[in-house]
Amino acid sequence: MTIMMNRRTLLQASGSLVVTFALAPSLGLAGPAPVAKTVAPDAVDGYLAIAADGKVTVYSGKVDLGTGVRTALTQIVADELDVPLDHVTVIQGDTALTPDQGPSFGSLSIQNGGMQLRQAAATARRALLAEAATRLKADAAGLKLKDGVVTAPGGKSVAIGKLIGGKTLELKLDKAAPQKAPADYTLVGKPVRRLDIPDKVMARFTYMQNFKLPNMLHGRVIRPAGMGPLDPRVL
Amino acid sequence: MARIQLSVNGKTETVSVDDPDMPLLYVLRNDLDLHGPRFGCGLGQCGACTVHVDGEAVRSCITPVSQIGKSKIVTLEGLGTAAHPHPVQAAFIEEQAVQCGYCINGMIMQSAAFLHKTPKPSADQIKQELANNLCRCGTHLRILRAVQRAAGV
Repeated sequence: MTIMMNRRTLLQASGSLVVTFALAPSLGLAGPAPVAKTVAPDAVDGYLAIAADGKVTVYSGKVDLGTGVRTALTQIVADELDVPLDHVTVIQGDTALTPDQGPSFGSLSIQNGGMQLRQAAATARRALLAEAATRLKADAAGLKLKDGVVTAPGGKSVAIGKLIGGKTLELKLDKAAPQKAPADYTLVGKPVRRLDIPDKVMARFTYMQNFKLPNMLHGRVIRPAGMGPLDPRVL
Repeated sequence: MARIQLSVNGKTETVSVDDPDMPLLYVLRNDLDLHGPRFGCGLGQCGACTVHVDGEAVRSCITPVSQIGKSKIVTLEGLGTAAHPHPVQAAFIEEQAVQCGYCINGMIMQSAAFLHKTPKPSADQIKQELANNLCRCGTHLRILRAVQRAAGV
C-alpha cells in the first residue's frame, strides 16, 4: 500500500504522466483537486489522459509478455488521436492505474484490449473536435486533426493539449464515436520499430525477474526425485 | 564468508560469497545488479546467462565464482553504451531481432565473442555457433541476419 501511494504521488508530480488534472479555468470550476485516477473500464479517463503539452498517457490492462503489444497499442492510440507516435506513453498492468481488461492471452490484447483503446481514443477525438469547434468558431465537420493540432478551414488552429490539458474528459466509451477507416490509418499496419528493443539489447529493460522489493521473499517449488515423495523436512 | 574481487566491465568489484561454488550468474545479478545475463535453465543448456570471461563466451550459471580469479568479465551492460553500441547490438536493433528478448543477452554475447575470432563467418558457421543458444519466440532468422549485418557479410 505504501508503495502504491508513493507511486501515485510520483505519477501526479511527473509532468508527462499526468493522472488527474486541475480543472480548466475556462470551465469556471474550481481546481486542482487530485483524486485517484479512475480505472473504470467504461470510462475514457480509465484508458487515457492528455496533458497540457499534448502528451498522451495510455493505461492498458493488457500487458506485453514480449509480443510487442506495447508498440502496437501505442500505434492504435496515436493513429486514432492523430498525435505523433512519440507523444504516447503506455502504462501497462499497474492495477492501481489501469482498467481491468482481462488476462493477456489468446491473441486478445489487440482484438479486445486494442479495440477498447481505439474506442476510448475515438470518443476522446470526437469530444476534442467538438471543443475545438467552439473555440475556433467553426463547424466540427470541417476541422482537421493532425499531429495533435486541430485546424479550421480558415487556418485557425489549436493544439489538443490546450483543449483538454487541465481536465479529465468525464466521458463513457461510446461505440457510436466515429473511428478512422482502415484506409486512413497512418501508423496501424505500417512497419514501426519496436519501442522496447533498444532497452532489451542494451540491458536497460526491466524484466519482472529483476524486481527487488523490500522484504521480498524467494519461493520455489522443490520437487521430489520420483514417485512417493519424501517428507519435505528431510529433503 | 569469503570476500572475492572480480573484474567486471572494467571495474574492480568486491563481493561477499559464502559458498565458493556459487554460480557467477548469481553474483552478477543479485550482488552487482547486472541484469543483462539471465537465469534461463540454470544448467548451461540455454545460453541466456552468457557473459565474456577473457573474451570467451561462458555460461555464467554453471561457472563457480571461485574459478574466475583475475579473469576479466564483460556482461551485456559492458559490451557497448547507448551512445556507442557494440556493432552486434546495433545490428540487433537494426534487424529488430528481438521478441521477448529473454535470450537476447546470450545471442548477442555469443555472437560478439564469435565475430571477434571469426570476423567473416558463413551463415552455416553462425547457425552452428548459436546452436546452443535457445530462443522459443522464433526470431532465429532475424538473429541470423543481425549477426551477418554486424559482420558485414
